Amino acid sequence: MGIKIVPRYGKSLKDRLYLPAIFGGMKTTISHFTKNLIDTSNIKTECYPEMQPNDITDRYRGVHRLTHREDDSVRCVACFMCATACPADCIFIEAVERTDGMAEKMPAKFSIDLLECVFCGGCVEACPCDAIRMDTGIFTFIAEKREDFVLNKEQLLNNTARKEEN
Amino acid sequence: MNIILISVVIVNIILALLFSLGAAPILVWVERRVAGFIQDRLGPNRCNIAGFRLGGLIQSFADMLKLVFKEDFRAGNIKERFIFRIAPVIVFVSAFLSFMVMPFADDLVIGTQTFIMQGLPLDFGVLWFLALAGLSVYGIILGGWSSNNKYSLLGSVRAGAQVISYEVSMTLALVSLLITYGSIHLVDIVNFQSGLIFGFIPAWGIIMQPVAAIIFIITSFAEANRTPFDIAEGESEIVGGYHTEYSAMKFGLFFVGEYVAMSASSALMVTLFFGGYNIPWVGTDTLKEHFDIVMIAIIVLLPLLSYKFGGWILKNNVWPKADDKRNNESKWLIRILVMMNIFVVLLLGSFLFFGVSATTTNIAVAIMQVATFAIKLLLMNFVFVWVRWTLPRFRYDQLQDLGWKVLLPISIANIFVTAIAIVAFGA
Amino acid sequence: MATITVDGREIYAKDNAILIDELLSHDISVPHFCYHPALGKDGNCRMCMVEIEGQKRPQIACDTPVKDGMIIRTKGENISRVKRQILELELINHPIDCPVCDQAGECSLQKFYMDAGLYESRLDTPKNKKLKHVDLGSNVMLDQERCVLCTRCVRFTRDITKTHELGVVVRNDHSFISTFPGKKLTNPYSMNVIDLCPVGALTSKDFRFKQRVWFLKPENAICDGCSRGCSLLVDHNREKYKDDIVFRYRPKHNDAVNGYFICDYGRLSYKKENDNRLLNAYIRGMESEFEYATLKLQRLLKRYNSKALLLISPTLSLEEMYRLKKLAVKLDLSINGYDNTFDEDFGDDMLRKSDKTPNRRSLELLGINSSRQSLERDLKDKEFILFVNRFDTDLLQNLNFEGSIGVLSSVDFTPKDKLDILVPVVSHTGRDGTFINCDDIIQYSQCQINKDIQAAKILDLVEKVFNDGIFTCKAVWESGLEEEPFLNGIKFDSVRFNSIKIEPK
Repeated sequence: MGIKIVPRYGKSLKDRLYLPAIFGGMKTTISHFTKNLIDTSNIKTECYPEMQPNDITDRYRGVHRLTHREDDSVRCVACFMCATACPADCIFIEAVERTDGMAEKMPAKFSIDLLECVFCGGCVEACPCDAIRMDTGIFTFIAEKREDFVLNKEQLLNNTARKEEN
Repeated sequence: MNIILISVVIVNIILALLFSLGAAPILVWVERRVAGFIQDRLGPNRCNIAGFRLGGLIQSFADMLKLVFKEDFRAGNIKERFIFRIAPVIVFVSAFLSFMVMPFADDLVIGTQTFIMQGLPLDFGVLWFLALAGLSVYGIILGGWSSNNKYSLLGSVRAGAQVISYEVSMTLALVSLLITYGSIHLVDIVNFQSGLIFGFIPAWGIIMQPVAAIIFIITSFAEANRTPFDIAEGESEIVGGYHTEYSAMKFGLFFVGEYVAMSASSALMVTLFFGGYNIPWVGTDTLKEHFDIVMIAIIVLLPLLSYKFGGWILKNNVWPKADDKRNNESKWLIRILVMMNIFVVLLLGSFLFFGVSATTTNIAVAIMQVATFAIKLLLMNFVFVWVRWTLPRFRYDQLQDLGWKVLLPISIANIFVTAIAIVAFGA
Repeated sequence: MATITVDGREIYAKDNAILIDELLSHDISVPHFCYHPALGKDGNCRMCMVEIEGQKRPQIACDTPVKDGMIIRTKGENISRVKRQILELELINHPIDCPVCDQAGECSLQKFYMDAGLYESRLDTPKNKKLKHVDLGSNVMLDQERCVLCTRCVRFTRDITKTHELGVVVRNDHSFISTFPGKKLTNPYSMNVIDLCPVGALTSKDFRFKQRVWFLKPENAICDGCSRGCSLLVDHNREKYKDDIVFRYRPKHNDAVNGYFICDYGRLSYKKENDNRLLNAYIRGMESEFEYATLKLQRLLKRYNSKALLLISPTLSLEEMYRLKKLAVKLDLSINGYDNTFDEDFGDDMLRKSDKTPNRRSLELLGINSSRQSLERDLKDKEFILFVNRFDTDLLQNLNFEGSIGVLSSVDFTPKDKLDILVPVVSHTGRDGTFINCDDIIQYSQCQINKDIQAAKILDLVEKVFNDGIFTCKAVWESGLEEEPFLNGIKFDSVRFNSIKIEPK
């Protein structure tokens, strides 16, 4: 087995004085400062509300949505796989018997607390019915009260997939 | 007592207030914008009054207003309420008072009277500064202890240990300086630096005493609790350090106190090592003798510099959204700049044309020296900010090692070398 | 004693025992559907195949007697292939609706498929359609599509309850489980078929869609429905931002008491743990602070002392009775255990007993009077009577009692305005304790579900008077209960994990 000897720095007088290294660092920072001071257009910062991000990919995990069946009814069968997979325990489901013959079971209540959600996508991975997706592209969700951050079943069903921008 | 004396005193106090208290929001702004530029981002640039952003300076005033109007929350476990309340005041007041002895200009002669241009006309300025700078740590220790919170206590213990270690070296570095200058009166020290060495180098403290200068700069960073010596509020380890439990204007006083202390340290550094209010190569007497030439130089240079500055404004002061009111700002700034130029040129032109009295020359020279002092102060403050966004924080043991094993021996050695040199070669 | 070698490991087994029993008792996993220790072998599912040295083909373990020197393999390429093929046959018509199936998580088919199956379906013909919601009666729902036809349920009604309600009808892969036309599943033990069913064919209508089973936390307890004291698993769960709820009771295997089964009455008695609980303390019919009411109760007992009577319930645990008896001695109270909750129609010759209280035997053993005559005698010139863990204040009507009444109860009831004081106490699964059943078997009920309801434990209330730091059952035993003669020196630690028959002299 080969042994790699890692060179140790910091033993020479120049290193031990520290001041040359400090001045080197200060030279770097001042060069950034003067470059940006003379011409601010070099800075890549986007001034957010005025400039919207245009690099959201298809795989971006935005706010969740519940998908529909062909007849626009809820696809979810309340199997609790998403709630089981959720590391933040932010999915709250109440199951009820489904009577329209599409399936046996459906969610009476299905809510996601976006304040607790960590947007890991575990629920989407876990879903056996493709009933929950995070493809809305909504990267910011704004509300005035804590309660408003808990999206209920209707709100989740009304969320739509992000439109492709061409 | 006469009207001139009172007005000069009032002007001095206003200047001291401007340089310390008024500088705080500007320094906050400088800190945030410089940090932004150093890290290739923009920093605060959004806040505005009727479209005027002043490069983001309005944000600082908004923040100050916010601190004033915030709820003053005190946690229930804080028992020593009086000490808790008085601690930020100690920090702020000691930082503020230590600024009061900085000379903004050479002694002003109006008629037959001479005025010391300081907030407090004292002639033992260095001692005053040392006394009060050491006092501010009491505020931090008391605040941290009365917070009844282990992180706050840790922060204040760190601050106390740090000040003990660094105050020694700072004072010893000053001793060697005082041997060189032969006076503790700051105006004398500044006037000492107005001379030249070998006929072409300004006799600034940093050239006369480079070792003392480095030690003093390092220790005053520690004294002001600034990076790399800000372990007292090391937010990565002990939340907020001594000010964890503080909110609203109590926190605001700590916050402003830090910037005032930084400004005071800068002012002392400028005074001791960078020639104070002196314009390099041009002493007070030289200015008074050749005032005509100075005025002509200003009349020529001011419009040129303003032209460059206006170009910079038009290029950089833009807002991404086209029809925003913030885009009107540059237009107005240019107008104000032009008006100022016209006013100054006309004023100086009339002086040139009609000639000036001795008192007017003295006042004008004082104004120029105050401006010089302000520019040097701002540059020194910039160095504080620059260092903060360059260097990482010291670890506690490294900090103590540096203080006791490096700075202290060097500063003692420096005293001996200086004393020997003074004895051997004369003052 | 026979020595057999299983997967290279030697184990000792009983001679002529059934092989699967021995394998399962040595924690060797043998997949099986139709075999059940209580129902015996049927041999129809063919899942429990093992290889036996010297036999050409794999054999079913449930119909092979143990012989000395057998060499058995339960793993290996050959066995896996056989199991996979059997599972493939089982799953031909299975709807694979695990997401909506209540059994998911405790389903044998699911487990065996994950252990041994894991194949791609080779089937492209449509599956047989059968009925998916059949209400068999007695809270049992049948899904015929999910059924693997192991006939455990049929054998249960045939051999255990002998009511013969269920049967298999129609031939080959169209066959399904059904009741006889016009009949329902009606016997008082019928919900046991839900536990017996290895798949999701028989599910509980009561538990249907309430909770996924992997969220449930099972805890051991003793049923308080009757004096049999069957061993239970209490499945409870505290959902986020909600109270801790008991979702169901399941029988726990205990050969000493109940075997593998419990009655439906006991199974559904979990509801009283959640519903109709007393939520507030009351003083003279007015809602009161809980802390204030407990203090007031202590003051009342101390004030009345010899003029007060503790009327305790046979639903209390042995420890609680012992401590209350101590309390009566200390404060000079009278104590009585008269209770008349007998239901002659309830008892049968299987598990159910007519005495619907779990711990009446302890009353007798501790020497607490419980006859009606003794109650009448004790009630003479009493001014305060405290009902402990019971609220049957009606029984005082015929006893011309004039004084004030206090009640400690976990159940809400009306009217409250006649009571001087009413303090909520925890329900049966809210505290642990030991119970002595009708056959003198002492058992420990471990379950202590901590609900958000503000309710006192009786041991804690008694401790407040004694102030001696005895809060737990173990401490009560060590403080003198284990020296009681009827316990014959049994220690708490041995009761904790075993059901022990006591022999009082």
